[in-house]
Formats: sequence, C-alpha cells, structure tokens
Amino acid sequence: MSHSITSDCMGCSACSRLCPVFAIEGERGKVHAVNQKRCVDCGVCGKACSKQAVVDASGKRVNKVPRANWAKPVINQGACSACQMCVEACTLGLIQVTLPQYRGSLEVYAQMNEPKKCVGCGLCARACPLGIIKMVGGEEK
Amino acid sequence: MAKVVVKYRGLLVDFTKLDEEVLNVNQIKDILKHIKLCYGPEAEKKAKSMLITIDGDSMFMRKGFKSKLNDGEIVQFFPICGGG
Amino acid sequence: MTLPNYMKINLSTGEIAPYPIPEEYYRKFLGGKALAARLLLDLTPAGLDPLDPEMVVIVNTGPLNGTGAPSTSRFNLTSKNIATGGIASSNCGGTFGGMLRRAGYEGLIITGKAENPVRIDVSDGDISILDAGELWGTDTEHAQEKLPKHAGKLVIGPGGENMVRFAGLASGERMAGRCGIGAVFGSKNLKAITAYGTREIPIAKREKFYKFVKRWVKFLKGHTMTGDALPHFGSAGLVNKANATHALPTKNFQEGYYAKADKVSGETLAETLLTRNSGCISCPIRCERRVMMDGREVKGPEFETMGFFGPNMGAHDLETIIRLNWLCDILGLDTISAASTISFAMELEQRGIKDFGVKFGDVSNLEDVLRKIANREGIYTELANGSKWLSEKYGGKEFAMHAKGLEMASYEPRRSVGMGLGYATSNRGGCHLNGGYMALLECIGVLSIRPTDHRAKAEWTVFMQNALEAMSTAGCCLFSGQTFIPQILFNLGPNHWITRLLGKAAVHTGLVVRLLLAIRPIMLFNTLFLMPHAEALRLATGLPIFTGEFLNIGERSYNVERIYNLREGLTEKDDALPKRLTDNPQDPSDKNTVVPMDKLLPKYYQTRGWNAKSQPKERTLKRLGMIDLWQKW
Repeated sequence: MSHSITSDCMGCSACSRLCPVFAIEGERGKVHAVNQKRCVDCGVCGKACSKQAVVDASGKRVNKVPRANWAKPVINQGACSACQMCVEACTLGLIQVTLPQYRGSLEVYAQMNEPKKCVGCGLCARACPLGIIKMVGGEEK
Repeated sequence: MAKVVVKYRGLLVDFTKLDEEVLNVNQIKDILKHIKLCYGPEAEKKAKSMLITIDGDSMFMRKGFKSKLNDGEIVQFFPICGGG
Repeated sequence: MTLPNYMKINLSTGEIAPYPIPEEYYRKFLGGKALAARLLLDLTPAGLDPLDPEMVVIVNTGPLNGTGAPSTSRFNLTSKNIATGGIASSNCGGTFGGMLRRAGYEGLIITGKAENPVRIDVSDGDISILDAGELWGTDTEHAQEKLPKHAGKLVIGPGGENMVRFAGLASGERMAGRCGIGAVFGSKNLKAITAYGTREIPIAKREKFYKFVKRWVKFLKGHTMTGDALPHFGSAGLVNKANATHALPTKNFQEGYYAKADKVSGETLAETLLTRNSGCISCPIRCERRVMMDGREVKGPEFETMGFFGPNMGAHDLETIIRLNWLCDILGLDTISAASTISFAMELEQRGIKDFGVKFGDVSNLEDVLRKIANREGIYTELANGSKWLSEKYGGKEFAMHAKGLEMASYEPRRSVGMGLGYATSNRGGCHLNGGYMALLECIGVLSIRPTDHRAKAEWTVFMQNALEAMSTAGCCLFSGQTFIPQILFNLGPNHWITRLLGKAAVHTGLVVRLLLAIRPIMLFNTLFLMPHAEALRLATGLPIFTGEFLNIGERSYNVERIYNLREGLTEKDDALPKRLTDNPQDPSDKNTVVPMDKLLPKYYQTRGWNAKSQPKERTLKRLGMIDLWQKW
C-alpha cells in the first residue's frame, strides 16, 4: 500500500520535507515521487499539498487540511512503560522520555515535547506496543 | 556490647532518612530491633529482606541474624540485585 | 507461517542473493544464535581460519525483534571464534535488530572480503555495498555520527579494523562485545552495516499478541528484580553482593573479596555519578546506567566492567571505570576480555615474568594502554591477542582466566561451582550467560543454592543453559527471564528461613530437574510466570511453541553449537578451567572452595545426553530432530 503523486505536482517539496519516513524524492520545480516500498500511508504529504496532487493507496485524492487541524498524539502517561518505541518512531525527535523528578525516581514516561512541530503522522501511535497513544484533533480521512 | 557503624543503602534510606549511624549492639538482630523502634515496622521488614554485610562479608559467613558484632565493624544493608 | 528472509552477501564478488531458509530449519531453530549456528555448519568447511575471506559472519534476529514485546531488542552475530577456534556468538541490544527486519530481512549472511573498506546498507529490501573509506580509522562514536541518522547501525572501531582478538561491534551505545567478531568484520574490510525501512513486522496473531504483551509488561513491572532492583541499580548493583559471598574476582582471580569494593558498587554509582536509568528500545526494565563523564551524559558501566576494571585489577576508581568503559566502546573492544587480559598481564608483572607497563592497583595509564591495544602498537600488539595467547608465550596457563580462550566474567567460580561448570562448558568460551548464569542461583541472587556444593549443579546448569539459550534465540534480553524466580522469595527476602532452607535443599533436586527436562513433550502449556517468552513466540510466529518446545529450541541451540565446536576440533578436554580454579582453594582452610570439575562434568554430559567425549549421543539428536547432524563432526 502506498500513496502516490500525480502530475499536478509543482515540485515545491513541502511534502518531502514533512514525510516522516523520508519516502519522497524530487527536484525543485519537478514532479516528486513517493518511494512505494517505503511509504507508510500516513497521509501527511496529501494534507500538506496545496495542489492536491497526492492520491492515497486506493487512488482517491487527498484533501489539503489546515495545519491547525492535523492530529496530535495524546499519551496515557500513567500506563506508559517508557519503552521508547514511540521515541524511535518519531523521526522528528519530538517525543522523549521525561527526566526523573529526583535522582533515583523511576516515574518517567514518554512525552510529546514540541506539539507545534508534530505533523500528525501517527507513527508513534502505531509503534506503541501497549496501544496507549491516541491521535486526536485531526479531520477524519 | 559493640560500637558499630550501620549504613543504610538503597531504598532503605527512604525510611531512615539518614545514611548511617553509630549503634551499641550485640548482634545483628539488635540492629533490626532498633530499626523497628525508630523507623517503624515497614522499615524493619524492608531491612530484613536486604543483603546484610559485616565489613563487606555476608552475615551468613558468621551466624546470620545472631552474628556477634565487634567494636569498629561496619554493618551495611544493601538491596538485592541480579545482573548479567 | 512466514519464513524468515535471509540475504547472502559476498564482499569479494559483490554478489547479493536471497538465501532461502528451509522450513525445517525455521521450525527447529527459529532464528538468532540457534539458526545462525545451524547455517554456519552448512556454509563453511571445517578448519577455516576465522579471518579467512571465506569465513562467514551471520547477523540475524529472533522472531520477537522489532515487535515491541518487552525487552526484545537483542540481536545476534555468529561466526568462528578467533580466541577459541570454536563457535563465536555475540549478542547486543538496541535498534539495529528491529530496523534490519523493518528493512526487509531477518538475517544477513556475509562472506568474502572487500578490496577496500565498505559498509553494507539495507534499505527497503535493497542491499548495497558502499564505499566506507572516509569512515575507516574512526572510532565507533564518530563513525555512527557520520552514518544516516535514523538508520539502525552496527560498526567496528579501530579494534576491529586492527583485528584485535577481542574486538567487538558498537550499535548505538550498546556493544556486541564478545568473541572477537569485530575482528572478523575488520578482516573483511567491513566497517559498518546500516538498515532502515518501514516494512511491517509479521506477527501471526496480532491482536492476541499485543494483549499478551500488556500482561507481560505489567508482570515485569510488578516483579522485584525487573521492576525495582534492575532499574534502580542496574547490573552494577552486584558488586557488593558478589563481594559479600567472596565471589568477586580480585587481582586476576587470586582472591574473591576486595575490601574497598563498595567504592565501585552500583549503590555508590547511584549515590554519586548516576544521572538516571535508561533502556534499550522496547524494554520496560530499563537497567541501563547513564552517568556524567567530562560534563556530558554517557552510557555507564555494567557489573562485569566494574568488577574487572576495579577489584580484579586491585583498583577502585569509579570515574576511571566509567572512562575506560566508554573508551572500550568507542575503540570497539570487549570490556571483559580487555580488562581480564590486562589483569593477566598485571599478574605477569607481579610475578616478575614480563612487564607490560601495567601493575595491580594502578589504573592511571590504562587509557593509553587500551588505545595502544586497539591500534596494535608496539608490545601491546601482544596484549591484543588475549590472555590465552599470552599464557602460551610467557607461561602462566594456571592463572590465565579464560575457558577455551574466551576470558571469564566477573563471578569467582570457586564460590559458585555451578557457574564454574558453566564457564567450562559454554560453547563460546568462558561466558557466564551462555554458561547458564548459575551465579544467580548460587551467590548473587535472592536464593543461595549452596555455592561450593556440586550436587544438582550439573542438572540445574543444563536447565538454565537451555532456557537462556532459547530466550536469546527469540530475541529477548535475559533479564526478562529473571521473573522465573518467584516473587514470593523476594517478599520473604534472602535472609528468611524459608529462602535459606530452599537454598540448602536445592542441592537434592538433581532428579527433579532431570524430571523437568524429561517431561518437556507434555509441557504443552504456557504460563506468564514460568516462560512468558514461549507464549510470545507462539503468538508471533503462529508455530505451536509451548514451554516444552521452547526449552527444546534452547537445547537444540546448545547441541548445534557443540557440534560446530567438535567439527572444528574442540574436545571434552576444552571443557576445562585454569588450574587456579580447580586446584587452588580460594580459602586455603576450606578445601571445598575449588571447582570440582571431576564431579560436575560427567554428570553434566550425562544430563545433556552426550558421551564422555562431549559428543551428542545418537538418541539425543533423534529426540531433538537433529539426527541429520549425527557424527557430522
């Protein structure tokens, strides 16, 4: 399954800058392409595209979504084991395990530190083996 | 009676609120009595389940809780660990 | 059932092709070190030099790697062991294993030798051999900084490049330290492997698997060892414990007790230089130490490193240990073998045999010594060959503390005779983990099964070896196995009369363990308490893996590695310990403080179903479904 880019693309590179798995290549001004093997169908490219040049895996055109309406992860910190699967999944480095409040404290958990930079790809939620990360606030696909 | 230095390590310090103190005692079990008296039964329970050493040797190299102590010895309470 | 994807890469010819894994191999060996050893038998002829271009090194994973199940980031490297001449298997935690699977492969089989330094890159199923000239000569920290940020990485340092016999590989801040596989990489001009991809890891019963994972994580967090002791003190917490029972190697195993051991203990570390704990990816145990060094936070030392750069050298400087630990990591050297080799050299100096500029009690020059070893400079090129080689040249075989050629770990086996048996019989050499980690049950754990008593030790060692081997094969960290010691014993504590009694009585449980091993075919159940790994494997692979079969996988791994060793010319005589441990009582007034190999070894072979020459018997191999390997040595 993979998203792909149509010829409506004008090569602004907004999508490749935001792609959380570095799956989009292209020269400025030229039609970009999605690496079909790499794409995880997060849809971030489509949400960001001002030309609506992205189609999803079923061929449906992805609508642009204002950034303010992009989903953000909510982590149930009380249930978090600090296993760091989400930390690794976030290639933007926005999720970190908190520092202990006092030396020797084990009460640490994953935390979204820079929600403004989050692109709402949901890879953190997918990676969490305990299923305690929910993506909220985004438009329904 | 022997004057010994007792050191509390690991999480026992959460109960005792101090790292070490000097006590006049005969045997290890006297120290546990003292812990119960001064820091409560929870502290004693914790202390009883820790590694207890006399000058670095396990107390079982002598007579466990009944080990007789000598002047100047250091008794320590360590947490149990495992490793690799 | 999804068969694992393996790719064979020939660095001489540049040929890269899929290597199909027979379904039978997968069912019987699953992955990790078990499958790798089985493949190594097929892929290499007997008698090959480990540094020969034709030698094969296998980098592979277990079925749980990358799934997010607790503590499942451990991956494996297998090759031939430079130090022992037998099997080499090295285990490491971190992101690489999961990433390799996400990049499309469960394992890589690497052979040949590149003309110039190269790195192998695995991306979305595509494998390329890229030039690594710019990376050659850099330490592991710098090398990894230059590699793609989000890729899983596995690199050698100068140690591997110069084929130091105890050169390891770095992956993130963790190390695949043992058995000198770093040198095998170096001999192939292979500097690094990188992997990145987004492939979904195949899990047969996904929903049930993650339901089980939730229960397993909760169980781990609620157990004293995995939820409390290990995250608070790490493995470093063992220093005082080992010392208390005189099982802390001191001055090259001359003694077992060091008066100032507390200065380099886990407690002292936690009270001073520790900043916090951390962990490998997927792990809720989080035993890693983070410490301050020169104003920055780095990974802290494990127990073995603390014991070996401390009391075993007659020293107790915590800051130096932290620095030497870090230095070994960036140079790409195994801390255990490096430190033990240097300790041996210190004893050579003490006895006036040979002066390598190192002496007991002085660790101030060791940074310099380690760098010279890694670069094979001057006389230090001899230290780079390990303690076995040194003892063969200069004498001192009785006190070269290795088994088969691999240096032993930081548990003095004269106060833990089961551990001694484990060191001697471990297939990769003097390894405490491969050897069954009996120290946990004899001296450093909550239970103390009479440390100097040999009874039942052989049987327990076999059981532990099988269980630990199976865990490693699955991709699990051995710490996740600590929960098999019942929580109630921790509630009672090590001093409680019940715990003490169990410890004393356990020497009579030899037959019980034999029974446990015998009833495997009917152990068609999985419990969270006994071996949660079996259930996780069953749900991940879809194969009928129950507790009995799980233990079988471990036993098969032990047998296949043994068969490899036999093929390469190792014999029952190599299941031995240096005379210091078998002939010199640690306590001269207690003649039981030796490792009675003469009593332990025959029982061990009997329990394993091997003959007196340590060869697996025909009926043993038949029972394990490995009859095709009968007499293949």
